Amino acid sequence: MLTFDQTVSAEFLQSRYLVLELAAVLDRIDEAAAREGRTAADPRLRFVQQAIEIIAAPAGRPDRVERILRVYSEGT
Amino acid sequence: MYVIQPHYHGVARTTDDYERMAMAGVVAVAEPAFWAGFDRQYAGTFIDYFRQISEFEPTRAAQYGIKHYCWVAMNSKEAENVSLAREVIAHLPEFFSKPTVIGVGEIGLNKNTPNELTIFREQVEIALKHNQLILVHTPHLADKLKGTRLTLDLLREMKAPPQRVWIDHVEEHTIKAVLDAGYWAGLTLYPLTKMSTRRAVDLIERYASTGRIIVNSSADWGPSTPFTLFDCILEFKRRGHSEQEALEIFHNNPARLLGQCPKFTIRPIRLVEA
Repeated sequence: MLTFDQTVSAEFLQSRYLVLELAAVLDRIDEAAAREGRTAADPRLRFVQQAIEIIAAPAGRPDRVERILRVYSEGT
Repeated sequence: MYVIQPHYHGVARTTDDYERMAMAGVVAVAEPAFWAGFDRQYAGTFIDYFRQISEFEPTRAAQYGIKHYCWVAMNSKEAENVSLAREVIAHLPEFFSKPTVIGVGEIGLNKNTPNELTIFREQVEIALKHNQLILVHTPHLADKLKGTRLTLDLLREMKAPPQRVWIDHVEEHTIKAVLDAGYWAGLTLYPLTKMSTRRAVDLIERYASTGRIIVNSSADWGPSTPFTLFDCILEFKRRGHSEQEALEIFHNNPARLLGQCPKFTIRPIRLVEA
């Protein structure tokens, strides 16, 4: 298995790419709402917000994917 | 669909690329001189490389009906070696008269060092002196924002005509400054990192009205493919843009930029009903 340093080195650029992709998705949604003169409100977007909060939580619990999947499954 | 692939490193690719690009509608590629993955030691190595991209690569592309053009320059990474860079730069004018050489590129910055800036300045000077188009590479990742600011400052100071300068590898935090200053802005697509096709289409939608967006795949010796350009075209059309709008971005814009060099003979096209 890879060491901590190897893992960070291997994943840093990919994590940057993925964070930018998610930010771009949210920008796209906001821009579409703005074009139609409405607010970017949709019940589904609450799942995204909860998922982001899980990602943003302090490091140390390597179960983020499972918790996010539970959000999308159960809305909790 | 007719497509121009304006930033393509054919020397790092197999002939399969040309065949598949031709089948996908590519009518022309333009190959900037770049870093080979290792630092070269001899000026003669660069001269042979320039001969390769100005003499041999056009014959490979021609087998598939693709016109091949190129840019010659000392790339930003190896520009750190100032004495070698100056040896190479002294030979650039020999290539300006070749029938498929359309400008000086890709020059610019990699780590924003004083040596890189020195060679960047000297290559802009030689391009202006010989009335060449200019292609500027901007640094990746953490060095991009500062490098783009330094690039814009230098080009403004040297009075490079913005309409003849293409600043490549822009992203969301650098594109507006490049376009506001009147330059062409290049979006270089990569499959795994840097600019994605969907983000590129976001930027096209925001800035297409400037008429100065250039989209390309780079396609080099690293993880890359010329077909990210077609992923981008598909995403652009998937969002409801018309065939003519796609032509404007992926064919006509590069035709207008590169067509400022009389050697580049492909002209913008407009679809009409038969």
